[in-house]
Amino acid sequence: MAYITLKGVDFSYRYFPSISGGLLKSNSGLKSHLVFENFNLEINDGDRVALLGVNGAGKSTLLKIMAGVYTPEQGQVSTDGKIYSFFGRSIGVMPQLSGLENLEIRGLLLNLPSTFIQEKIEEIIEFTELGDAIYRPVSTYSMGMKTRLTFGMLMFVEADIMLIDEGLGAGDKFFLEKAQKFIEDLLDSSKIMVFANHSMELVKKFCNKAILIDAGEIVQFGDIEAVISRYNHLRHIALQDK
Amino acid sequence: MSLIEDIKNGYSRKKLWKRLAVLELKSRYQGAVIGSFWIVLTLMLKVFMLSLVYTMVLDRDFKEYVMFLAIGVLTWNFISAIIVTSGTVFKKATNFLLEMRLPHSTFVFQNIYREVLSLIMYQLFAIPLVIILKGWSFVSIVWLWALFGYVLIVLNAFFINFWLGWLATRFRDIQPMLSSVIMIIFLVTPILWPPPAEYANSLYFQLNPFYHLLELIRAPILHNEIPVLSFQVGIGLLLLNMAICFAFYNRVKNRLVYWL
Repeated sequence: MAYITLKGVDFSYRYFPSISGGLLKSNSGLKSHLVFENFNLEINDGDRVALLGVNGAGKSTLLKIMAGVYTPEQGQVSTDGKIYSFFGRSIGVMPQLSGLENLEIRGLLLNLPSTFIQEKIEEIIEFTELGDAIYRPVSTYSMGMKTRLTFGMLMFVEADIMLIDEGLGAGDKFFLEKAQKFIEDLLDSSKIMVFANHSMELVKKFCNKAILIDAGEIVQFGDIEAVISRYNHLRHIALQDK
Repeated sequence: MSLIEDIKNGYSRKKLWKRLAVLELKSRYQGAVIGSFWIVLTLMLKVFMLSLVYTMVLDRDFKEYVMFLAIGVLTWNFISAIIVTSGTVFKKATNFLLEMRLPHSTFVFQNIYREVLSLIMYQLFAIPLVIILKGWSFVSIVWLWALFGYVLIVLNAFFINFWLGWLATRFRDIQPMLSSVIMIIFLVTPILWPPPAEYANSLYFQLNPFYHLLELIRAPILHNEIPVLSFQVGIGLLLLNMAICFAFYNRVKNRLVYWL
């Protein structure tokens, strides 16, 4: 049974300061910013969770902690099940390479056998309807084509836990319907999905629960509709304050 | 995960790092008519032009000097490329490392493999050149020692890539420094000029580790000699580089992603 549990997690984000500084004023060294303090969360089998929150609330950091990319200073992160993390960055990894090569690299990153990768790539090309464009460098792709390729990368998935951050734009309607069908089938076999996206349309389609986080704390966790209305309410208040 | 496990796990991803290295090499020459052959052509041009000038400046025999230069320059190209690219080995992999947990060594293998491929291409020029200039009778069993020399250089490069990669990712002053330092080392190490016979044993050369690394290859091929001292220095350097990696791996393994 798949699960993700975070117990008493403390995490500070470390970064290099901005490029200002230089000759007279040093900008060397790492700065630290506390994101989570004593953070607790439990996600279980069958949960398709949307991560909601304003920019900078800690959504991406939370996903990276779940994926094991970041190790918290305190607390425990335990997961059971094969994790597939997709943070929408790979599309830009090697834009000079063709869509096909990018797909191949993704398959290899996931440590899949070569024959499986080749079979899957054929399936992906057919599904995404990229046609001959798959042989062109990704730098020449339109936004819509990039969305299709990004989605194609998701199709390699064979995991119990899917962690997805942004990356998936709304794309065109026709494709979105196909994609939804695919994800629904996939989720029948995979157990947990955590999905951070600003598009309420996508989130409502794919998720059954939601977490609203703000400044590193859970404001609400539960049924998707209830959390979205709370999120909209908070956003409305924030806009009024401005 | 310990460093040994990291290296084991990284090695097991060999399809990934081999593919990344090849694509990286190809993309450097994307759109070029002769593609990756530029790797060999630039070396040929360099050796030919420098030989023309330096045989005059140094008053040397052309044949002898071309061989000395070709073997030295190609080995130096490998060493300097490893050191300069160490600074970006992990930085380049930011997109991967921030998306999933991968062994650090995956990207070190990628870097080393790419440079070893270049080194093999360099040899396609250098070995025939030596044979053309000196004839088949010049080829000797002692040349195998040069092969061991390369193995030692590549092993050193592997561990240097690790710790220099960590250091340059953590301290941003390292990368710009590397290119300048490597240029100075190039000028003070006997690569363009053979060490004058009367100073060959002076501490100035004997204390320069790069001189020994070059001798690992030059001595067997050019002089039919086994450079015992240079092998000792090479092994010593390897132990030192390994010790640095083992000492720092546990401290660095979880932190590297924050520095990217």
